[in-house]
Amino acid sequence: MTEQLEQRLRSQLPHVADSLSTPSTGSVTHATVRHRWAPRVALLGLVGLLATGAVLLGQRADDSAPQTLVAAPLASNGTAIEEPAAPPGDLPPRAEVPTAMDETSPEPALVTILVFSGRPNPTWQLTADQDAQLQLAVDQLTVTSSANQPDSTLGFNGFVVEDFRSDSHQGSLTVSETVVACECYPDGSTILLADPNGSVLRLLAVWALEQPLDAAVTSIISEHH
Amino acid sequence: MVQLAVLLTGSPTIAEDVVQDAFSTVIERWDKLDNPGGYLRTVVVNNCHQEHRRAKVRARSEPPSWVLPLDTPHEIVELRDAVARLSRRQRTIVVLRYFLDLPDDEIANMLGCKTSTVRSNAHRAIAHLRRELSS
Repeated sequence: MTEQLEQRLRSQLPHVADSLSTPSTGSVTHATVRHRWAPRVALLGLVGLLATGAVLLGQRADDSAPQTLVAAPLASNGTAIEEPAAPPGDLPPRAEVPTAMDETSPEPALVTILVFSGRPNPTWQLTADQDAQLQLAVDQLTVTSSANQPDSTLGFNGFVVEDFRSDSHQGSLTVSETVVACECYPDGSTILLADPNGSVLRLLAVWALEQPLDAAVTSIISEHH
Repeated sequence: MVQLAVLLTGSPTIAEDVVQDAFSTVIERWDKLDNPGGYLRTVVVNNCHQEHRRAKVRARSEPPSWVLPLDTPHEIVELRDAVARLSRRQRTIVVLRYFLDLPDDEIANMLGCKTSTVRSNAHRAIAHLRRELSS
């Protein structure tokens, strides 16, 4: 059964992608959108063609080799910070993750620091104590409909907590300065929690500083400590 | 790359934006890149995640509303709906694993997690899809 489903995914996902990329027949909205986007799509095609050709010409024989250059994010003051190279296997240090495949066993919440664009962001797994403290902090927040989460910018954008479970909320949290957005499991709905004092962000920032991060990231997070 | 972004965002227009931005990023750093293809793929996935978060907050609700042509076969619509209802992490892993055919260790490298985490998330995603598609 699983193999059949995997086979179906392999054979049908390209069709899903094709279908999503194809405009609905006779749809005025699609036609309008396509017309409006035509110059950008043409530009994209041109850039894509050039870059793909360049990729094919310049790519190393071993395509799976991890890149060693990273995007340069900006600190909150606009200064460019130097991201360290990511040599093969140099992933952010993390706590051990259970290998159990039992879908009923809860996985510890995974925190991602939103700071990089061109390389994997640093992550760590919450300890049981941190998980309990975070649940307490999040459950104290009130649901709001008026808050807006800031647009992401280059540099530090807060944290994402995946597989978060508390008495009130279960899902993926996106934590920014004054708002915590919870993408709830399993329906995918999003609720916004007001955090005017930034208590959840500061809590995660404290724990982030306990992780072995590089100096530039530590410096940025310290500003939000 | 656009198809990868389409499967992660559900929107061809957002996908084109994301890939265009990613190409711009790659071209800016072209001289210093060892593996432009891998770098481009990573930027596309990261940008899709950022776009997904912004879209979710803007919409404050539903899973991605993926619009398919009216003549799309039922089984494709069914699969699209099931994949759209996966969590972002699970959807990303399913797409990278079954659409791009990337090995688990490379997916783990891209997402900054352990291979075991990729495997367990894939297992959960498959279990979820099996339930959705059999109901």
